[in-house]
This record gives sequence, C-alpha cells and structure tokens, in this order.
Amino acid sequence: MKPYILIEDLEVKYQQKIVLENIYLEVNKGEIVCVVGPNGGGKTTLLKVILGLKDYSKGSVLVLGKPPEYVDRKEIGYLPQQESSARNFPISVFEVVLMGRYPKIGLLKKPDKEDKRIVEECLKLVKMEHLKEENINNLSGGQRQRVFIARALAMEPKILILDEPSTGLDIVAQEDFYKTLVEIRDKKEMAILMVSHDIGVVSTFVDKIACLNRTIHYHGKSGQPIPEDVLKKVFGTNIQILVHDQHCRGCHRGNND
Amino acid sequence: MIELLNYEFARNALIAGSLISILFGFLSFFVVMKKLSFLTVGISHAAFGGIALGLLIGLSPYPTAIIFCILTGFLIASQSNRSEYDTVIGIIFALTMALGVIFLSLRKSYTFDLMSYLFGSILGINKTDLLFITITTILVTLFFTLFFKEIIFITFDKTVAKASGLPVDVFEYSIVAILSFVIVFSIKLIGIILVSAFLIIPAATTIFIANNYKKVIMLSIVLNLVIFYSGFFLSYKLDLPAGATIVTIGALIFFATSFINKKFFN
Repeated sequence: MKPYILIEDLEVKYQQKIVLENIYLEVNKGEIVCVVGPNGGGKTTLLKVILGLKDYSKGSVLVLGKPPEYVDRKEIGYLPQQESSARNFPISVFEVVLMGRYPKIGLLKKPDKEDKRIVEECLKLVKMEHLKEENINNLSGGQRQRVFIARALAMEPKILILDEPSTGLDIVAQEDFYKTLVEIRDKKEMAILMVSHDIGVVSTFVDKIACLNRTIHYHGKSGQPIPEDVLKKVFGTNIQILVHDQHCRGCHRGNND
Repeated sequence: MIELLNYEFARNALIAGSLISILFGFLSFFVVMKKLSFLTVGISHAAFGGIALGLLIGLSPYPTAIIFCILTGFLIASQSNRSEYDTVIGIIFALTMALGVIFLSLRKSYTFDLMSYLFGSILGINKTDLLFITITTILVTLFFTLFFKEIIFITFDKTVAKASGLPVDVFEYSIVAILSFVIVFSIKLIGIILVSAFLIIPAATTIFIANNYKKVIMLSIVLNLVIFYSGFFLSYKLDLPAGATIVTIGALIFFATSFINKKFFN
C-alpha cells in the first residue's frame, strides 16, 4: 500500500533563507507519527507544506498519492497550533463538532440525520458525549482540545494533522489525550501526524518519532531511545528529558481513575 | 404619538428604521465576534468622502459612497497583521474624511447639509431610500440564509475553515461589501458618526445574557428594534435629534447590562 504521506528530499525557503532541507518522511495508514523539535525548527512549516499552504523549492511531497495542492482538503483533518477559534463565541459542543461536517455537506445544504449520527459517534470516541449540550467556553483546555479533535474526525478524514496538540495541557490531560489518539488510530485506521516541542509524554504513545531542526536528524520507532548526539543536534546541549511512565509520582493518575 | 403616522415622512422613517434595525441586529453578531467594530468605523467614515464626491460631480451620493466604502473595507480587510490593520484604519478614515472636506470646499454653491449626513436626518428618508433599504434587506437575508452555516464556521474558526477547503476569502470580502451597502443606506437614518454604534451595541449587549449564537442573533434583532422605536418616539416627544437619541439609549442599555452582568453573574 502506498504511504499516506511521502516526503523525499524536501527543501523549503522563506524568501532566500532555507528553513527546511533534506527532509525524508513517511507516514502510513494506521500510524501515529510525531515530529519533535525546538520552536523555530520548521515543524509548522512542514505541516503547512503537507496541507498545501506553503510552496517548496525542491523535492517531492505526496499526500494520498498526490501533490498537496491537488489533495481534497476534506481528506485531511487539521488541528492548528494555537486555538484559532473566536473567544467567547457562544456555541454548544455538539454544534462545534457539527462544523466538521460542513465541508462534506457542501454549500446550500443542511446537516441531516446521518451528519448528526457521525457527530455523536465522534463525540463518543473522544469521550465528550456527556457534554454535548455544554457551551464550549465552559470547558477546560483538555476538554476543548478533545472537542476540536472530534470536529476534525467528523470530516471522516484519512489523515489527521495536529500542530502542538498538548500545548496548555497538564501532564495528566496530555496522557489522556494521547491515549484517545491511540484509540482513534485503532478504530478509524487513519494516519495521524503531529508535531510537538515536547518529547516526554508523546514518545510513549506514537509509532514513529522524527527529530526536526531544519533537517530530520533521526527517524525511528517509538520506544527506542533517541541517540544522545541526535538530541543535542536538535535541541542543543541544555536539555533534560523526562520520560513519563508508571514510576512517575505526583504527576501520574492513581489506580482509581 | 399615533398622529405621527399620518405623515408619509414619519411612516417612511419607521419602515426604514425597522428594516435597518433588523439588518443591523442580525449583522451585529458577526461584527462583534469577528472584531470588525473598528472596520465598521473606517467604512462609515469613508462614506463621507464618497458622498462629498457625489455631490461635487452632481450625482446621487449613494454610488460614490458605496464605492468609497467598499474600497476602504477591502483595503482594511486585506491587512493580515493586526497592528497594520489598526494603522490602516486610522489613516484611511482620516484620509477619506479629509477628501470629503476638500470635495465640499471645491463646490461652488454651498447648499449641503453636513450635519444631516454626519448625524442623520431620519425624517428626510424618501421613497427611493426606502426602496434601496428594502432591496438591500432582501439580498442580505438571502445571502445569509443560503450560506449561514459556512459563515458561522468562518466566524468561529477561520483557520480550520480555510484548511478544510471553504472559500474563506470570498465570504469575508462579501461580508465587507454587505457592511458597506448597509452602512451607506443607513446614513440618512442614523448618520456617519453614529452608525457603527448601531452595529456594535446589540450583540455586545445580548452576548451577556444569551449562551448560544442563535439566541444572541435573535435577541440582538429584538433589542435593536426596541432601541430604535424608543429612540424614535422619545426624540419626537422631547424634540431631540433621532440618531443621537437612538444611540444614547443603546449605549445606556449596553452599560446597564454590562454592569448588571458583572455585579450579579461574575
């Protein structure tokens, strides 16, 4: 089967400055791939290229077998880096997720029963169905993030792209969030690509990790330790990695949860 | 009070005011949520330059005012950076007012009632104005009925709407064009200086009391009608300028609601 995302020898420039070079990345159906790297290392630029929002100067990018500008946008669910929604917009959780159906429904048509069923299913998947009538402004950061994932899922995409999804979430909420992503991957068999500047919690849950700082320095399976020289190249020398596992105290949930 | 309705000019004013109140009440939610308040100030002031140009070349002031407003609105809306956006509005709205003053000074005969354009002249609304307002109301209603769900998505989350393939720019420029039309046709009712308040106050007030956008929109329409009718009849009773009375009542309701909300619900 062809990879859902295949990038070879990619180079991207902003004006004349090279911001990404020599990028090779493959994301297959049913995989969760995380690109980690420092702020300003080109992670968001890489996502913009995949989404067809940024041109590249060299190399090949194929998304679902096509160059990004020809890919049907409805095949890609996207969660932006910072919450891009209007502040204090008075709207229920259900209505937010229903928006994910709008591009599929098309212009001049209204959502039908099937659209609403899909919304219910997506809310269930992210464990937010009990709050579907709640105003989005009354939710915590982690709950809102789940709602926005459900909205992306409501498009029934083949690829889910998440830009720094754990920003603003505490360690427990992050772990819950990544567990939900694994469930989504298992049930929906979609490819999930996310970028993060944090290599702590995320490394436990993903299938592949790519370290990016202008170029990709390491591309390996989750669970394998990232070589120290790679971490120094990507993040610099002043780095301390905390791996979150069952031995963590204080930040970890108790057995009752 | 009822005897007022025997006069055609009063009936015209009431019908035009009702339509504009409904239109502005509806649009208010989108203006407040998309933070377009300052943009509406820029557009309304641009109308002054357009009206003055129309008068200078001896035409109806409406077409030139609409052109001035749309160009200004598009120029402002094309600024992606927030600080550039504020700067451009600040410069453009002064420029279009300055052009208006220059155009007026170039006129040989000075028969222009500046105050009626700046602060409204509600009883000067004629049948032609009424026709334009009615057509605008029908077209705006049609546009929003057809594309309501897309406009809500764009208003709530422009980035994701764009990434999912919706023609965000087309909708955004359409909304700016719509605002230009409704602002120009409401100038006689409420005036260049005051018109943006009539667009901002309703949703800024009802958002305190309603927890869903559909309710905010409905309440904004009702509130705008209440503000208009009370301002209209009070101005008649007390012999005050209608536009200024309407805006003052609206602002008082806004501050009272804001105060009550903060005092009792925060």
